[in-house]
Amino acid sequence: MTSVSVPDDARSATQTTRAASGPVLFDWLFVVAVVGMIAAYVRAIFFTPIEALQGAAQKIYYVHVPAALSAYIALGVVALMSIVYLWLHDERADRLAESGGEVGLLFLTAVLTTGPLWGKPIWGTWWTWDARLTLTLFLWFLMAGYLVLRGAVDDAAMRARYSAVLGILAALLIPFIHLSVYLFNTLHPKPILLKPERPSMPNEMLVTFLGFFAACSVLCIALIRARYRYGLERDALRALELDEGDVSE
Amino acid sequence: MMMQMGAGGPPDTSTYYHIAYAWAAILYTGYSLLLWSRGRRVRARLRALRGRSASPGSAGAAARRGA
Repeated sequence: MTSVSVPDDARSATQTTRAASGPVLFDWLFVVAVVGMIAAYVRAIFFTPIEALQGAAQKIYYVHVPAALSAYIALGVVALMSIVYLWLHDERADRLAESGGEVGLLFLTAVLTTGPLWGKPIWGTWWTWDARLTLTLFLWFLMAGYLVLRGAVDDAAMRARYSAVLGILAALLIPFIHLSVYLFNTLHPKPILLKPERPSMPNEMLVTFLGFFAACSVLCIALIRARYRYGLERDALRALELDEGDVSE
Repeated sequence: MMMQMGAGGPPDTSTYYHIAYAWAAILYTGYSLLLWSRGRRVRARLRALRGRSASPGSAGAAARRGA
């Protein structure tokens, strides 16, 4: 027999959202993110020069790197909220970590699919078992495992504790991924921006990149917020279903 | 061949760039739509359950009367 438990704040959410229709999943921040992404796309496609050596494929950099940095943000949320959960046992921290994990996996998927689209014309191959690529693929598997684990454990406290530990361990890979181009002899280019020296990129391209990075970061935060709200409603539903079940028995 | 060189200009690698931009847009839009759809399903179920528990003859209402 399996036991299903529901976080306490979801039970209170059931009460509080009973009167109101509940918060909307996508709010003003999501609208800002969508407008920002459209503006970033327009700037990158129509108002950014084509690089002389790589051609148009260099523009993949503007979607690939911001996606990687957004994945770092989302996985940073997972790690931070997992630590908060293990410390305070607050279900909101667990739900936020879960949201960060799902959105982080989305951005990691974007990284791992746009990267080969740049690699094929520039390196001549879709994939190579380079340290950075391999570590990023490992992180993708870890985050997929994190979400599978969350779906496999019924008890809320146990699920939150197990996934918090896995979330922290997965996020520990991020510094290694970032430093892998320095630590190992890799094919992957070294950072153009996140390095001690001045960014090695012309201003026109730098503005496009920063615009994309800002829009992608806002999108990441807006999606985490939306996913959190969805999680709150899903837990409220679980609590209500459990209440109905208890009363019927 | 890695990339075709244009006549004196940059190489033509635009196909990869178009696919990458379209794919990223599909990925982000797809996830947003998936989240919206999941939210809608949960809300519909919540509304149905709340409506059922609010009706006078329901088990939930009986429990509340008992309390």
